[in-house]
Amino acid sequence: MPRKLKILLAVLGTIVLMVLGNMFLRFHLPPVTVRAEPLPGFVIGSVRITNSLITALLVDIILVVLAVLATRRMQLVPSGLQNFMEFLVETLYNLTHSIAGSKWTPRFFAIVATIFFYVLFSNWFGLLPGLAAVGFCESHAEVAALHQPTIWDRVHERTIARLAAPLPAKEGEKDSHGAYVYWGCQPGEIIVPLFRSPSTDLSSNLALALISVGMTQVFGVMALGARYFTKFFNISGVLRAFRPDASGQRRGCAGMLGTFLFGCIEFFVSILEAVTEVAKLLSFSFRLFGNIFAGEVMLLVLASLMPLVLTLPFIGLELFVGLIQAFIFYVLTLAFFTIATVTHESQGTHSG
Amino acid sequence: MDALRPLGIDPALLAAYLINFVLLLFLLRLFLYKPVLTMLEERRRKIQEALAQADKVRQEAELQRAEFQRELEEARRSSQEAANRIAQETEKMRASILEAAQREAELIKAQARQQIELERQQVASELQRQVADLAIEIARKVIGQTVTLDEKVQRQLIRQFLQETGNFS
Repeated sequence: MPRKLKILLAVLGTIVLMVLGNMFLRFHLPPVTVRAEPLPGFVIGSVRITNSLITALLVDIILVVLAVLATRRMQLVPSGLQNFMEFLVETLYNLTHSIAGSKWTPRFFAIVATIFFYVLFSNWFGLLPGLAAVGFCESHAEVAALHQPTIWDRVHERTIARLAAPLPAKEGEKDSHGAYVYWGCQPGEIIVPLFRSPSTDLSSNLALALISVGMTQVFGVMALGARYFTKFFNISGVLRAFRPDASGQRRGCAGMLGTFLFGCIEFFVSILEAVTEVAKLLSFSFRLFGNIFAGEVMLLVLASLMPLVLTLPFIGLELFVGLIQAFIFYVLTLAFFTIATVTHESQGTHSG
Repeated sequence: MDALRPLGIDPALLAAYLINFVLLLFLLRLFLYKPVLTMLEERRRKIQEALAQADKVRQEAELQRAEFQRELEEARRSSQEAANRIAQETEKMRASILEAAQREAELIKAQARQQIELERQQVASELQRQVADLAIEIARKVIGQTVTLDEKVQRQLIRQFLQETGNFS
């Protein structure tokens, strides 16, 4: 078959798929919520288990099963899954080693590698096609009551719901609540997905960020002892103004003032360091959340506009984004760990 | 914390995720990192050992080769030496044989010469005797008479004469 004919057939097939998809596979955008949805019936005590927590457990299981399968019968000459997992772990280990050095790599590695694998699999799990369509039907009113509409819900109703609104409602008429009827659900019910990527749940991301920032402090103290905390409350510069200078002479009035001002700047910078530590929690969790959540919403919106073909390149893009975000989380955590284990005097500032 | 609830941040869920992460950390450590890193280390060690072993074997082979080379050189030299020595000995033997032969030849020649000398002297003395006889005979014939002199004195005279005129020998 000549090459040109092949290309022509591929283009024709694509067009046919697009048309058929738009004719038969149309669906309405399900409500998109910033929060992970609690699943009906999954309640422990007063805590309603969310679909993202279920997914997190599933990701755990997938990772552990992969690990066990790969390392069950370790062979000196590796093959198959063992080879692949060894390649991953070794690559990650070497990268960690090149950043953290020989002394700290054994202590950092398990944490940062687990962060990488967990985030990566979470990100990619959310890209499984059709994930949003698998779930429980729940009455819209109940879901709404559960959610207690907030500013976020209103925002997404105005934006995303409007994006979805112009679609012709062929198979799903609006019910009395003004919501669309979803396939397999009774009128007045919407789908609560069974699975949701943990990366699109701020609880999960914040937990990771807490681990990352918390362990940074732990490693800092392990490396430097109590001295580590002078980084966040550095008054040594201010005190220096009232001590004799390096040559042992008392400072003059101008010298004292200058040293005092520099000390104040150092103190201010150290307070900023403390603030940065809290800001890290936010940046870690919101960066991951924003990227992955936005990607999934975009895929949903695109799929609701054109069910087939259109999402394909974007799934590739989101796979890449998922990898990059996992890598960013890993590298930043590793970098913060490494920075924390280095004395801030030795970073090239004028030491007191 | 209530302000965070709309964002999906719930203390109980947060705790659940934290526990989940720690659990995952330990499981992966147990089932993935530890075995894989141990295996990598072991493989590294094995390869290193094998390389060292190969290096050692190569060195040994090198050493052995040098040894062989040396032995070969030695053998070559010793055989060369032996050949030289044999050649020398042969030469010497040849010379000695030649010398002996020459000496023998010389001896034989000397003997022959002696013999000849002896014979010549015999011949000479014989000749002398015959010449004396002849002289006496001639003298007798010439003189025609018997020499009055005693035979013995005559011979004495001739001998004297011969000795004065010259020696044949």
